[in-house]
Amino acid sequence: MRKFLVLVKKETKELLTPQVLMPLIIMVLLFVFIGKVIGTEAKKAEAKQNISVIDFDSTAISNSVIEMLSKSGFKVSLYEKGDVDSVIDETKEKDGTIVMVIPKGFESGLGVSESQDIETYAILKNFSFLGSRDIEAAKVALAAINDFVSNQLILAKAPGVDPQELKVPIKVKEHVIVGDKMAETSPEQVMGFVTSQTTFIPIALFLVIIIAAQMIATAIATEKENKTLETLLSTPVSRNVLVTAKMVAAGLIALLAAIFYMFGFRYYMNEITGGAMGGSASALVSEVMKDLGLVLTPAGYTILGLSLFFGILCALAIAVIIGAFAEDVKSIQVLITPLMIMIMVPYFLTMFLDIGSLSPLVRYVVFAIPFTHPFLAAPNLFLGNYAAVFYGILYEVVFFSIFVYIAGRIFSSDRILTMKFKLKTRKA
Amino acid sequence: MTGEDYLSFMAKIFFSDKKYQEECIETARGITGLNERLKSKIGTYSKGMMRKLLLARAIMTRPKLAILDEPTSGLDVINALEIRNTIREFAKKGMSVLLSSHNMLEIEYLSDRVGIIHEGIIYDAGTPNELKKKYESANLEEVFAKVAG
Repeated sequence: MRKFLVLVKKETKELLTPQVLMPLIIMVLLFVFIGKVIGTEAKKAEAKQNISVIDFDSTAISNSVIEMLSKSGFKVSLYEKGDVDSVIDETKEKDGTIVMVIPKGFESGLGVSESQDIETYAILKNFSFLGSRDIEAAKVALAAINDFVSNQLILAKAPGVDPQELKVPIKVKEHVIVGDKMAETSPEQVMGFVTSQTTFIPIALFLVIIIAAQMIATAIATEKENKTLETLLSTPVSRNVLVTAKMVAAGLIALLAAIFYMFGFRYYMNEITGGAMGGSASALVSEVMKDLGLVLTPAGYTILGLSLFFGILCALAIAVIIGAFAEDVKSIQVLITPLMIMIMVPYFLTMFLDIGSLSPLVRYVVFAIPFTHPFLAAPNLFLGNYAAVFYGILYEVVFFSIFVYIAGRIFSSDRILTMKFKLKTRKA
Repeated sequence: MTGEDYLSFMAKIFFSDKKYQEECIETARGITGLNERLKSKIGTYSKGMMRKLLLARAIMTRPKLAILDEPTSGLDVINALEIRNTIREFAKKGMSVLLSSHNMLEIEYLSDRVGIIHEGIIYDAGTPNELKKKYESANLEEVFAKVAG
């Protein structure tokens, strides 16, 4: 055990170089910086927006429309005459984004049940997500205006009737069933909640696996290149202990990298969504999700952790073999590509598709990739498919054992020093 | 990893007692003769420095038998001489050394007994003088040529 700890310490120290730490710190700082900038801009966008309204009608209804816009958070610049072009120019100067034109005869037309046109002119200054916010806000305001005007018209034609009863005579009462549990909520709300809870898992897993695999493969290739591997192999330490120590060290650094990444990413998401991510669902929504069994229990988290852990170990076992093949550090990038593809395939497939609906052959191929199982673990736990998760973990354990055995065999023989894959370079 | 870190790591692998670890590292420092350069990263070492470090690591624990594979190949005259002297010094102190080399003059200079191996077969063995006498040769290089030729 003492030798194992000495080895883990040495491997960790070797891997924890400024070259590894700097990108992690820069990544967190970037996330914080971008998050701050976007957060500040979003707050600015939430401030009152300039909207120019040309009211050619000047009646009680058109005044109500303008009042509604003011209540919806717009700073209204009112024009009762003038041409549209000059108002657009003036709005541009004021940094406004919307010009709205209420035509003459607006109220009288509505009075005889004729639909009326309100023209809008959106001034696009950029195509960013934040840039389109004011236009979306104007659309919401127009929908509210439509609702308000139609209510007025209904009340005028049929006094004493609730306009909502006429406008929405059929009300939908939505229910969602998950497994054997049912709750009154919309499928969209459930999907949104589950997605917000599970989005981080595949991202973190993807990163951890890639980083760990690259680290361990590079560490072995470096030792081969520096010729220090021979002397390490001649020490009175079992080869399996050597391999395991390398894996544990790479796993630890990978976890550290994941924590750095998740911290930065979470901060970034909190800034741009105003704290909408990561369990900030309202108490009511939380209660409904609990009724549906869509909340991970401590046991669920443990099972998920086990699936993730064995997924990482599978990647490390493969990476050890890749490192053994590499003659130098340069060849690692090429050698590790098949492993990255093995991780990317289930990452994207589980994100966009239902694996169960794939053809049997494709499905078995995807299931044969050990990394599919940790990606599927969280959704399966939510749906109560515990058996699928357990079989997945069992498969990961078997896969890991086979590859550790192969890695151990390679390290136990001279092949570790003679196996090589060299990049062919063209000679001029 | 610096040369010093490397030696310290290896000493910890071999000994759990701190006193032995320190003795080991001290011996290795002397063997390498790298002094302050031991604090530099191994990646910055020249071939000669690297060979001295690896030799130090191999014999710092004072093993009964050290197996050295071409310890001076590719080195300049001074570095090669320093390494040969270190090997002789430790052999005098009682350490057995099994050394393989293509440099027959080096073998003659260092060895008490020599085995002539060619394509995996041991053709003959003896002291350098016995072999030279037996094959009526001026040095071991000629012995090898006659045996393997």
